[in-house]
Amino acid sequence: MLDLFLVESKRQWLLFRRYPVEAFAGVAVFTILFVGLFTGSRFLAGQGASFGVRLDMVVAGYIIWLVTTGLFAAPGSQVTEDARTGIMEQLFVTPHNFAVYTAMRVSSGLLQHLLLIAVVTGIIYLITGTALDYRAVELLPFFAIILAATGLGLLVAAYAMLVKQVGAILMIGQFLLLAMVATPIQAYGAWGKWLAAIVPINPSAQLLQHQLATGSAGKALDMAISAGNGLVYFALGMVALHLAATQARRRATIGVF
Amino acid sequence: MDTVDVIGVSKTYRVQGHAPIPALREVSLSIHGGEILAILGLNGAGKTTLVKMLSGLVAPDSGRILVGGVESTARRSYLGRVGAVFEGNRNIYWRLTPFENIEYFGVLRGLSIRRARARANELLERFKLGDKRNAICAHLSRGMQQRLAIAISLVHEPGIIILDEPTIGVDVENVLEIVEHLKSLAASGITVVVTSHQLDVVRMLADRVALLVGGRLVATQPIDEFMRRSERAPYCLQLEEELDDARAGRLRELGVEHGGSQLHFPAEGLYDILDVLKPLRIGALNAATHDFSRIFMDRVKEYESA
Repeated sequence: MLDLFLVESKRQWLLFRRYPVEAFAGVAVFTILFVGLFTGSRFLAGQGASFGVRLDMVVAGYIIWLVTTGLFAAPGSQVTEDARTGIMEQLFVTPHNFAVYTAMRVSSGLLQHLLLIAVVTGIIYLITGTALDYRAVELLPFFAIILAATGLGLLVAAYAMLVKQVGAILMIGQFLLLAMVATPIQAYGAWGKWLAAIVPINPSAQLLQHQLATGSAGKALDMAISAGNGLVYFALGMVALHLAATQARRRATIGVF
Repeated sequence: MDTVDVIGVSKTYRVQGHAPIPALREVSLSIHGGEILAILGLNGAGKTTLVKMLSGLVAPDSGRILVGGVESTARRSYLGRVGAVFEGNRNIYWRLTPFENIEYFGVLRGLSIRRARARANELLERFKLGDKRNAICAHLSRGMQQRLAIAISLVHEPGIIILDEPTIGVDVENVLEIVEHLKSLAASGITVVVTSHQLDVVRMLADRVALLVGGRLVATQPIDEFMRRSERAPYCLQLEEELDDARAGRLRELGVEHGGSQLHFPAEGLYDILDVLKPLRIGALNAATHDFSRIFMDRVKEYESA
């Protein structure tokens, strides 16, 4: 699997190097989007307004959202793209489990995805003058976000395996992700904390956002909920994609687009 | 040499709101190691379903498929023995080079990176793509892309290679080259299963023919025998004048089949028949044995009406 990870990483790097416009267009769009939101908010707040910790929270939330969007979209897009170009059938006549292979592809593209987000983050820092506090304690919720977002992506890929059309889901999904990342569900009454625990990404995103903006560290229970949330949604995505691939093989629709 | 055994395989496609479509019905077939078998049939006969099942891409509803004694349900070891080239341009990454494609699919098929690279070098030379190793595949000709697809299907050294319409859209020079490559693979002990609507290619390539009609396997024969089946009427003669009743009766006695102005008859009666026809004008006289398309259609109709 390590060799497969390496050749897949090489493939993605070669595509990035040969066709860089697609990747950099994403950087430009997400930067412009943030600049639009930021300058619009400053205008509404009036001159001299200071956002303080709130700005840090918004920047942290925006970066987390960017991380989730790529991971959410990648598996479903890959399935539809591979079905469209016709390569899907060749991917299925290999000894690898398709769900494991898809998850491996997402992980091999992760570094490239995070590097592009780092570029966007750098530009945002320059524009806003904010700086977030990065510590080792951020790693657990960050990985939990990656797991949960990938799990949701695998669920979409499972649907894509059967219908090969997920454009609308991917588009609407971006807004749902924003809600999952930014909504402080745990603050809604006594049940908020437990409700947040079962919403994908939310407990980890809220925890990480808070830690990044305030420099505090989450409690052990919050960390456990974050890890559990990530693992459960990742496992759900893997199982769903495995079942969908088996179903597609039975229906003979693997290469059908 | 891996033998292939297809035992009582059936497949029915079920789509909600539509009647079930039986694609294969109780198909049984054995393919010997190192043999080239052509699966023939009209569109919808079940050819693609059968080759996709052999490739491990479609699960049968019932029945078993074994390659070298390994069941298709034991996916890891089964797929290690099978190589596949699917229809169209569907087998390579167009934005990668031939070397990168073989390396990628080699590792995907379970080889180490080092081994996949070594195989890429071997296969690019073998398939005469050495000078294109660093070209982007989208810029290669269709024939080169197809040769590359075959090379990729061999990267993990399978015992059987399955090709669905491998010569569609390929120019004559590349068709001949592909035919030669496949023959040399078979000579080296690899079993080759191919579907094609290009019957001249089948005739050049196949040792044996399997004919599917409406999802049923109706004949499996050595290609020479398949061709001989129609030698009872190997000549086709086109008359340019009406045949009178007296001549028609005498021709029937000589075993001539006629419909309209066309006569079909066996080789041994040729000169007797020409004597009967004298002095009627003859438009054309052809040896029908070379017309594989006609033989194929005759056989399909024969089984459809049976």
